[in-house]
Amino acid sequence: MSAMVCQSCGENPATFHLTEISDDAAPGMQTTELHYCEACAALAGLSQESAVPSMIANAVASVTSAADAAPTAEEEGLHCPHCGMTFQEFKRKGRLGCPRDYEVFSTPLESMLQKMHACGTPRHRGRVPRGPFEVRNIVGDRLLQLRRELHEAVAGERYEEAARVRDEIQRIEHEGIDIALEDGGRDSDPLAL
Amino acid sequence: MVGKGDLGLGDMDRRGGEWLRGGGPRSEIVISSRVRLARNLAGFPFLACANEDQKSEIVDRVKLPLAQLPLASSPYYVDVDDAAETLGSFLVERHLISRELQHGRGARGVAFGSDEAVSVMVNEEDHIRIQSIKTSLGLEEAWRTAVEIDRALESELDFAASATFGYLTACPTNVGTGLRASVMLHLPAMVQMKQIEKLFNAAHRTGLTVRGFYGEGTMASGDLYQISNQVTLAVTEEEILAGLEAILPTILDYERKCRDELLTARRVISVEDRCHRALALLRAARVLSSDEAMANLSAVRLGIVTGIVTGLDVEQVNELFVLTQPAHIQKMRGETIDPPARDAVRAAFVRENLGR
Repeated sequence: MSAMVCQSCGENPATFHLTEISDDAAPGMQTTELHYCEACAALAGLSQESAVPSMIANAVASVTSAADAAPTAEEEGLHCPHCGMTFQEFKRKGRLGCPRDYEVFSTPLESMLQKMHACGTPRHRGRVPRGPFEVRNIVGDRLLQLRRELHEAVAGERYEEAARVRDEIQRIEHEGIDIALEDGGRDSDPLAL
Repeated sequence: MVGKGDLGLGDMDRRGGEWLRGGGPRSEIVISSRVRLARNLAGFPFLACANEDQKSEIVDRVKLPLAQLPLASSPYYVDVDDAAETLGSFLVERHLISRELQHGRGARGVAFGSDEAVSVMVNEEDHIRIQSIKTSLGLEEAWRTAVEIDRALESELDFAASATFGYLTACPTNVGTGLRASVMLHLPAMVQMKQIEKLFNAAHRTGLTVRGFYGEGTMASGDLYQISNQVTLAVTEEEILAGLEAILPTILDYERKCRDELLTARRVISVEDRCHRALALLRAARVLSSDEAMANLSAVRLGIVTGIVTGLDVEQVNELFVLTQPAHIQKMRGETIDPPARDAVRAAFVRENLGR
């Protein structure tokens, strides 16, 4: 059998072989075979240990290892209701699941951000997008929640419910904050006024 | 806008992007200056938690504003999920997309102007990655262009952001400004004089990162190094740019001193020999690997900027750094060819370009 060539550069012999299993733990899991040379494997952020993009995982690992090795009970239990991400999962993947995670994981994230960004108080000082943050976040959070409901309704083949949620998403996207408040944030005083 | 596949990319395989043009400030050492902004749409999960429908929805959402961007040249859009392997590699080699986007899954793509000064990746690590790249030393100009693109997109899209954390990104290493500024430097004399660790030391002292020509994890092929900021939160964009600019005089000075040292009476004959041999090899070789091309192009570039080699200009060499990469050679031939055949095509192409 002739030596396999790296499927990325097509030049060097492939010495790194990986069977990637789709993240969705669905029946009949989808697998992809990757054959890279060492350089391209490193370039693609792949390592022998896992298919987690190495740069980010390393960056996160470098600030989560030593001092924070053992997760606190509170960290263990942290879970984002919008995307389903747990703090443990974030530490493993090196990536967050949705914008809301910054609030949900704010306590353990704070010391990570301080180390990553070599700062005392991890508070933004740069440019900001137009419009008030409160409005943006209420609408954003409500849409995140609805998109999760939509995903679950489709996955559970509850198509009527899915259609209803889809309409609701469209309505909020067109009409904005009033509708989002009316629906999702009525009892929680989201503007904290 | 171009839709799928590699339709209409014209003669891109035979010319470099504007950022390889050279001729601007410090172009004897600085190849290019780049600014990248990471943005995500509010109301959508980040890509780690997005399903296929949501990824497609994000692409659909972003495509129209992308088509209306205030670009200086005609816009292209490539659906990377539908693109052939070679086209993906071709875009990586041109620095228009990252390896992560190329090897990603699901709906994703890139928009760029035909001068390649601006590119916007969709569904890479973040929903949107804006890149602005200028030739030579031009960080301020690259930044102004990136802001213009950012504002244009922001007028049509809601970006995820908070008062505390700024622009929210999939990885907390980018949160806040979402800004990564970098310069690509050609440092052959520091390499030759075994002084390159000074670059790493200077960078680490000031919280900057050093990478190779093709970013994270790449070897510094062709003596090309990228230096960029690491910190994105609790600093302003201006401070990030100023921090990178502040270290440059030191590094440029190291490289200049090393070049001066190489040109002293004691050493000059060996440098002249190296530069002329490199040029002779590139003009004569019938088989040329990518690595051999990069190493010899680097020596020729040093020869041109020091006046040892005449009759060639820096732009030709800058372009060849990119045009001799594997996917470019294949695109030039219009077919997938195996490495030995590719090395022959590369050699012929380089001979043609550097011929007397």
